[in-house]
Amino acid sequence: MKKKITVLLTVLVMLVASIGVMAAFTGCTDTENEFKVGVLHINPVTSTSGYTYAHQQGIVYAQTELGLKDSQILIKDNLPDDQTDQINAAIEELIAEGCNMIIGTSFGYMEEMQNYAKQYPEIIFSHGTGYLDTYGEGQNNNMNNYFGRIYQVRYLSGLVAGLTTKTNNIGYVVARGTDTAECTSGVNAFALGVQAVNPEAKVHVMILNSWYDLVNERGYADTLIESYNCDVVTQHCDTNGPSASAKEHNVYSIGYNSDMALAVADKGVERDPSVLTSVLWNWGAYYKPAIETAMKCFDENGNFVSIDAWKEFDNYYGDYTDGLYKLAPLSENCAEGTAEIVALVEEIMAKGTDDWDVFTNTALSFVKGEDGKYSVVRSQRQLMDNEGNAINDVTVANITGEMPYWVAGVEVHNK
Amino acid sequence: MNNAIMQIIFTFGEAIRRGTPLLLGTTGEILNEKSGSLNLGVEGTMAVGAITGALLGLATSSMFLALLGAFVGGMFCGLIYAFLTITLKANQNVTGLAITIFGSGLCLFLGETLKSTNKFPAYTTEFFNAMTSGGIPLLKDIPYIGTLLFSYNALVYIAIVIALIVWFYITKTKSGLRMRAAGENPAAADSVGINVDAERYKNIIIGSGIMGLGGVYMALFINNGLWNTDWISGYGWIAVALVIFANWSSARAIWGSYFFGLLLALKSRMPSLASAFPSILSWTTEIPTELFDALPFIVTILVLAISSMKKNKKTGSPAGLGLNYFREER
Repeated sequence: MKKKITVLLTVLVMLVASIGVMAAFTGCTDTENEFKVGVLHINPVTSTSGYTYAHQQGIVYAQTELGLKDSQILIKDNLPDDQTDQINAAIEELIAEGCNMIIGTSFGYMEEMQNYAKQYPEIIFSHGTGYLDTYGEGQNNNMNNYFGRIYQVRYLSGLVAGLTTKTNNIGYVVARGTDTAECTSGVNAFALGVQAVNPEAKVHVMILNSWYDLVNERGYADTLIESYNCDVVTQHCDTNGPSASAKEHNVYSIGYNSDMALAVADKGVERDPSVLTSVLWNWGAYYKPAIETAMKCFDENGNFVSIDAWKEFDNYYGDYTDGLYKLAPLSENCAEGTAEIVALVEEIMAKGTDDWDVFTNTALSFVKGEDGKYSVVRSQRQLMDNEGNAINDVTVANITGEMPYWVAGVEVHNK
Repeated sequence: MNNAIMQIIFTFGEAIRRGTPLLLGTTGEILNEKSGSLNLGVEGTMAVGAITGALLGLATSSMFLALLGAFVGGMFCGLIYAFLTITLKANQNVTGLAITIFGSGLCLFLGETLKSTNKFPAYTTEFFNAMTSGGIPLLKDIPYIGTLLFSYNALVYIAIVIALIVWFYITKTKSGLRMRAAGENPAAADSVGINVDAERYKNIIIGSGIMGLGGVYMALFINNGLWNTDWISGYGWIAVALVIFANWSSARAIWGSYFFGLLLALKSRMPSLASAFPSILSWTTEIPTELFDALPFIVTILVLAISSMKKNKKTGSPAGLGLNYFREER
């Protein structure tokens, strides 16, 4: 009997608590005729660094800039991107709650979003990092995909690493290998950046084959530093492990996704100087114009008018000129001249990819003049892969593109 | 050649660093199981130890408080488990799984809440240098051997000492005999005047405290005290299997843990070994890294399969393991 009462009491307490929490979070208001945006996130929306954090910052930026109310942004977070049932349920809930636009930030939501985009022509879908959409003759034209030429900033961070390294060994912990252009284009751009300022330096790559492998992200950095004598490590993975390892070994790191100088800083120190810089996304630069444009497809009562305005975002592949990404502030440990050289390349990138881009047969190099100022020299080159073959297809890896090779100067240590 | 020797030493060093939380988890679980409780809550108990220990340690920069906090956090989980399974006679397996879910959830909740309000204690180099680059003075400067044996943080040595003490307690002392009796045949133990419930309570709570130390090791040394959503990442489950691998002996668990530590270390260390010994190991660079991820679990399955096939009666598994003791049904 006692046991039954205990169990009943426990259940009761849990029920009361959960109802209380739910009531606190779902303040019910009349929001029927507003334009509503639904967002699907893979990690908790409360993350304070990393992937979801970067996207959520962008959503919040767009919301503030466009003056949207909290009730107009509906978020489904903690949504694993391999769980079809959960993804479908989340999308259906967003539709039922009257969303006019649904944004999915993780690769794995792609197919589910495309299915719903086909069923609901009056809802706008926007999917990040994938390759499916609904554009074309006889299709709804309501789902786009979006990504950016993040490799441009990788090139900039390569400049920083190449100038700063003393051992001429630079480590790179990467999530995936030649099957994922997002990763190879990052490594290759980084290596080209390194070579532009330091042709002697080698980039040592270790592949995780996982997008989230907490213990090994750190362990790989340990190996790169201890066994391959790397004094700068950078990463394309999800945690701050490589930066923490570098700090502990008294060498330098370059972060990704969020500002790792903040993540590994000591008490009372704002930015950790062992983090030379970080490669940062600024998703607000896409979300603001995207949501603004999507709103043009609806009238003020939230009724669908026409999809025409949305067509400009077909295959959105933003670049430096859109402000979609940037380098975090440079650390005081960067070699002399780093800031000037980075600024010179930023200037070139600001002119757009028609003027110059990373994966072209034009190499950049930097000469210090008598007045102590650097200037850029352009020269022709033949891009080579690390097996000694010429790379002739140097068209930029676009959103659906492939890049199944590593450029010369990259040494890959595992499969 | 020097470089090649260093690569081997680095690999063993990584094995010992990764094996230490396994050793603590396994030692704690052996105390639980030897007294008759199959506690599947290792993962959750370690998670609670990790968060309480790390929060206290980082906030105060004190190694002692970190360990104390972790031990108390682990004991707290042990207390819940013992109360549910011994006093309320709840099913041991289900309760253990509940502890795992509860502990991991509590750790996630505290960590995320503190992180999102910017109240998570910051990483301090001084604190970590004091513990990690410590090693044993003078001895650690001996070439090779110093790096191999004397260059670790204090908790590595503490873990070995704890494992040996637990081994001595279980096999050589009178109170160890009592707790084994409570695990082997609680009814018989009861009939000679051993308080079975008290024996089990005691060993569950202390064992869980030791698991908590394993948790804080994961938080502070494997994850550098930086908040990550999955601090324990499955090590608790490997510890459960390691108990069988070590045949319920915490002395055997020492090398068993380092062996599994080596399996876990191979993913990151194999490439450097391959470059140090290209003629013997160059083929390993062709192995997909996913295989290294799976290796500890493949070996776990092999261990379980082989140990269940052994006809040897001299297994260390207590006869009363997993069974609740009802005095009235004696």
